[in-house]
Amino acid sequence: MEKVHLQSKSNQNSINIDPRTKIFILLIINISVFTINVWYILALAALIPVSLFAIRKNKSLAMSFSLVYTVSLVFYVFFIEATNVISIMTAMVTGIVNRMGPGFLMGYYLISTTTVSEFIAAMERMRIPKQIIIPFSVMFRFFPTIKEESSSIKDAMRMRGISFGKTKGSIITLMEYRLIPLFISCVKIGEELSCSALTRGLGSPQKRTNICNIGFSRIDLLYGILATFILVLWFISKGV
Amino acid sequence: MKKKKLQTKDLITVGVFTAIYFVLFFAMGMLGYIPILFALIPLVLPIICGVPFMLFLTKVDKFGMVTIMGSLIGILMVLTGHTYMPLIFGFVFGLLADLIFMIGKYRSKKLSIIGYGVFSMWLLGMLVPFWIMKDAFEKIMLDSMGIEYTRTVLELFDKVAWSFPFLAFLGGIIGAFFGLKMLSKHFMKAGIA
Repeated sequence: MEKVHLQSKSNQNSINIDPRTKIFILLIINISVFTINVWYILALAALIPVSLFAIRKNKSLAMSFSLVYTVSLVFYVFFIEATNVISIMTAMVTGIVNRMGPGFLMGYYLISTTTVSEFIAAMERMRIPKQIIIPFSVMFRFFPTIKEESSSIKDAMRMRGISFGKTKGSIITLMEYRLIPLFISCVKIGEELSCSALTRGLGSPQKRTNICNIGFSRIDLLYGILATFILVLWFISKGV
Repeated sequence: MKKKKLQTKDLITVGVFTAIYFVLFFAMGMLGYIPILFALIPLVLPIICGVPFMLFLTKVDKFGMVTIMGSLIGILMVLTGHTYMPLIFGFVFGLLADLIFMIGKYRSKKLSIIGYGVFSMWLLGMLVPFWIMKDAFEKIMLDSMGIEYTRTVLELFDKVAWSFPFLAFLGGIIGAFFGLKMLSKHFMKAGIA
């Protein structure tokens, strides 16, 4: 099985929401969940990514997350009468799950269901300067490369008898053997990439075109309203 | 000094090195899930990431590249579900580091060591949420453990927490030295530094 983040082919069959909506929801979840302690806001914030995953037919992830989250939330709300060390530890663990969970899941949804081109199209529509867009897309182009290079170097080093547990010397030495070749090959690939991108006109001052079809639909409206509702609730319970 | 504009080539370089930095950072950051090592994160991460950053600096000769790198790491942190704080911290400390490098015209060794120390302090953006959550913990502990105990624990937390900026800075300095050593040991020979 291969996990692909920001893959280049989109899944046409399933319902997809606009990348801008995803970013908007992610921001609202991040802002509201971290600074508040009200259980229904936390539950609503968790509901959004869970339902999004459910729509994408990733039911196992949605189910398991909602189970863990519900248990954690129930513990946090009802068993908060901490009297000993164990319950304080429980309160801390559930607190972290409750606050980190929704944002983390939403972030995972964002990168696992958006293609690079869609992301670039969305960023261009949001008038983000190209000083951010170009490095950003290069970066995502590069993550799989690093993984590939790293595993090749691992194999090459194993052939020479350099691997965990076998080699004499410290971990630092081992990391030197593994990381330095990785950096060197990455720099080389980066230079080649930069040449090839320039020959394809990335450096031209003209506005680039994009074949990705992004736009808002009814489902975006629904989730937009839900996210705004969370923001309103947050303002109310903050007493602003 | 003539002010040079950022070319597309520079932007691609920024992307490549940000990817390397982030992968290394994320892999090492997994150590943070082991509770005791958590306190060491601000010290250890900058040391490891010093090598790619120093290599990156050899390619930097214009203002703005380090700032963009800081902001990009901040954006990645936001996208992977951290708070919005790393974005602000990444931008601010990236800018500060950029200014320090600029004073040395991106070639001064001393300033690049200090600059990387400053750049490493963006890590604090990840720790800030724990300050915010402190209130919640304080309340829980106050209800159950009594004032005396709570105050002791929080004082301890405050004592440790204040060391984080210095730890990050120190980690950056050590990392920069380490990176420069690696640079002269390997990369100069290979002809890419």
